[in-house]
Amino acid sequence: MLFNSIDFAVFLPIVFILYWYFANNNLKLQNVLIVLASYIFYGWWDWRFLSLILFSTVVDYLIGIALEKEENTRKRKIFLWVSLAVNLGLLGFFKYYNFFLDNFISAFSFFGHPVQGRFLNIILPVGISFYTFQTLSYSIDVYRRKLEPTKNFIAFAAFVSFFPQLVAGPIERASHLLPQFYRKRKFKYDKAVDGMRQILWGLFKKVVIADNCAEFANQIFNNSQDYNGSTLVLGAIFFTFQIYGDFSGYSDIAIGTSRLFGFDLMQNFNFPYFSRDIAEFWRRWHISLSTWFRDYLYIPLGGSRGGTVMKVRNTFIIFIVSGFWHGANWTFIVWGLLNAIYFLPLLLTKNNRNHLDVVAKGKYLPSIKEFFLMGLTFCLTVLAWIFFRAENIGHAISYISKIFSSTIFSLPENHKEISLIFTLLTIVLFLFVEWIGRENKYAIENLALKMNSTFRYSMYCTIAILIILCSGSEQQFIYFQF
Amino acid sequence: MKRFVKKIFIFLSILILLSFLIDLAISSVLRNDHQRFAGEFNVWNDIYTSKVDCAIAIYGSSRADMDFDPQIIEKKTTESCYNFGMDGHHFWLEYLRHREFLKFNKKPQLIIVSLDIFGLEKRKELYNYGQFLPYMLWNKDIYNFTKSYEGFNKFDYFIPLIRYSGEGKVLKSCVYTILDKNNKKLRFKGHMAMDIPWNSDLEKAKKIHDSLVFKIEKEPKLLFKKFIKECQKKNIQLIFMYPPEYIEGQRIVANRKVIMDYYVKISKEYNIPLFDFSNDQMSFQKKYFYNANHLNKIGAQLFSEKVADTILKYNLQNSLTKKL
Repeated sequence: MLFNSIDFAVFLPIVFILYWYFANNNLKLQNVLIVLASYIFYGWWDWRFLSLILFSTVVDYLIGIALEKEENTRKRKIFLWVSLAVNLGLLGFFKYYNFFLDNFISAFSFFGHPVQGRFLNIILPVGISFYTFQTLSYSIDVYRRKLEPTKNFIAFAAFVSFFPQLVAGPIERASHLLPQFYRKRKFKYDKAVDGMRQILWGLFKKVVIADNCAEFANQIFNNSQDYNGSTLVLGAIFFTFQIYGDFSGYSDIAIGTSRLFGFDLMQNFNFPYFSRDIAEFWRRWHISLSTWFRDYLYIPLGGSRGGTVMKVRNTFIIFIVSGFWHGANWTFIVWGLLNAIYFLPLLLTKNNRNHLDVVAKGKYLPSIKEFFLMGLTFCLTVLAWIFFRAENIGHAISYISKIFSSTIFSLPENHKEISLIFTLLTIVLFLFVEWIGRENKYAIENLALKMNSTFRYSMYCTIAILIILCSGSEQQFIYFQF
Repeated sequence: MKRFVKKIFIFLSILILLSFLIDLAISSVLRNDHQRFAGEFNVWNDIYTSKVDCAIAIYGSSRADMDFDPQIIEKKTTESCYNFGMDGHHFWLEYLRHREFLKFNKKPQLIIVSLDIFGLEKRKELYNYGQFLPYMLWNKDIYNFTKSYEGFNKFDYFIPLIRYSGEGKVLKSCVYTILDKNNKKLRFKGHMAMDIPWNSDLEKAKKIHDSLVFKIEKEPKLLFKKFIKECQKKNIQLIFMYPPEYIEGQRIVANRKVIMDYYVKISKEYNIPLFDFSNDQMSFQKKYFYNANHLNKIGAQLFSEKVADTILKYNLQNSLTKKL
């Protein structure tokens, strides 16, 4: 079920009413309802893959209990490896089997030993990368004795399958989300209103910004050979806003929906395009994944504790793995590699933790230096996104080489097109609102709260009308495929 | 909780009201777009604002709309004439237009039904669906006649603004209409003159199909008969006309005779004159067509003279005058 569909618009109020009116005083019933709702939500795509979620849930639940009882370190390690093997095995099979096979065949052929392999027609289960990482965090934390394993299967099943964030995150840690299923949840007016506001803003990002940008980005990327350099730049910028609007919009809707049910999810995006360097960008982009890799990969590898070589090695590993997590394609790996290269100078000069605060805090405008740094970071990010969006490495290289040709100085094609101008204007408006609200968790969290209700409602209605006008055919979220 | 539900209710109420107002605004701008959707808004506007006052009405598909020039017919017969031809559609939606016409305007004395070989089929998709957008909200007739097509969903007919969702092109055309860019009327009294040379439609069709077979479907057939009976009951005179059709185009229709025979049968059954111009000498001369089915501007002018002559020759004009 898509958040931007009529189905979800019907589904959400029904679950909300059942949850607060019929299961209000019964925690167990509320959790059962969440599990049922989550399975319906997921099964809407393909009910067959519910078995994968259930299997993953049962395995990690049992391993959690076994890890608690077992004192023998070797046996505990075996339990952890079972969890890793099951979860990563499923992920590897569904997501990477054909990719590895293809590359093995190419590699053997390259060395003069042609081999044949059997490619499988595999459907990638939606959101598998997200819930796999979520359950893994549970097993690892229990293994590290940072978390008490749960004996409440329903609560654990609800934690694994919690529908707002099941298919595209934020990837929650068990230590943060699981305890919320043990506590009695009471309806809080302010929290619910805030949740609705965040849903509205998330829908705006997805439907108005991302889907409009997608139309141009797809057209330009799919026919890049027909366009001049400046149009290709525009295409890359459109994709930059498409992916941000799409993914952060999803996160906003997920967080807002969770708040309607009394839950708090972690912030996943923190105005990344206002970053002053790449390190700051990665502290603000897909935070739940970055911190996951930090806690479960970077730190176990030694983090930044060792010498320079180790730091550099770990940085490259983390970025490349992060790229590979997005999909079985070399383009994602190069995207990760490129970000590691961007990050390297900051790491080597120990400037990777320079910008921990909000840019131009308390000011209307940034300084010239801040503006320049933000612009530079944005340009680097746009360049990296070309690899992320391209069909293959060759496509990305030809796209970039055409950008850096003399045609970059010509006017973009169809620049007088009204829909193009409209999309550019919505991006400008969007950036303006994001800039004003950059000190909050999401842009309109406090915007207009101090104004009178007429102004506030006018703003919400304008956003809602824009969403209605721009919606039309339901567009998939990009991150579902990851 | 009550407070929250109340706020949501207030918000949704405001939103619905606003949506309705914006819907009205978009629809009223869109109605003035004379260029897009094959100029169909020109005709729908005349119908819904009760501006059609004609003694002779011409019904049919794009073949009617392009082949019959009301100005020439008016001049020769001295009777007012309006062309209701509907681009890309068959009798099913031509009947919708007929209903709306009679609902909002004075009835005509004579209806010329321009026949097509494909007229009693029903297409799956709602071709040129944009023409219905400004008029379809809470319009039961449009709902009843278009709901069976692949096009709109139920919400589109009853919830304001929803049907404009994702209609970037429509909204863009609103902006162009406001800016008054290239907004000349495409049709005059419903007629669109096609001053263009012969195109490759026939050659393309020949490449794709060795021959074409058209159906006579049950529902349109019943509706066609219902229409005839209604007109006769309302004392509206009907005549059938089959406009010229380029001979090579006629040849690729395998069951042409079956369909023509059906029209002849109906005309005899209900005592309606049928004038078949598909054997007229015009049908053998490419210079009058821009494709096998449609006359060009010169062809339409010549054919309209013939239509007027036919009306005069068979005393149809006299019968009109008597009724008037």
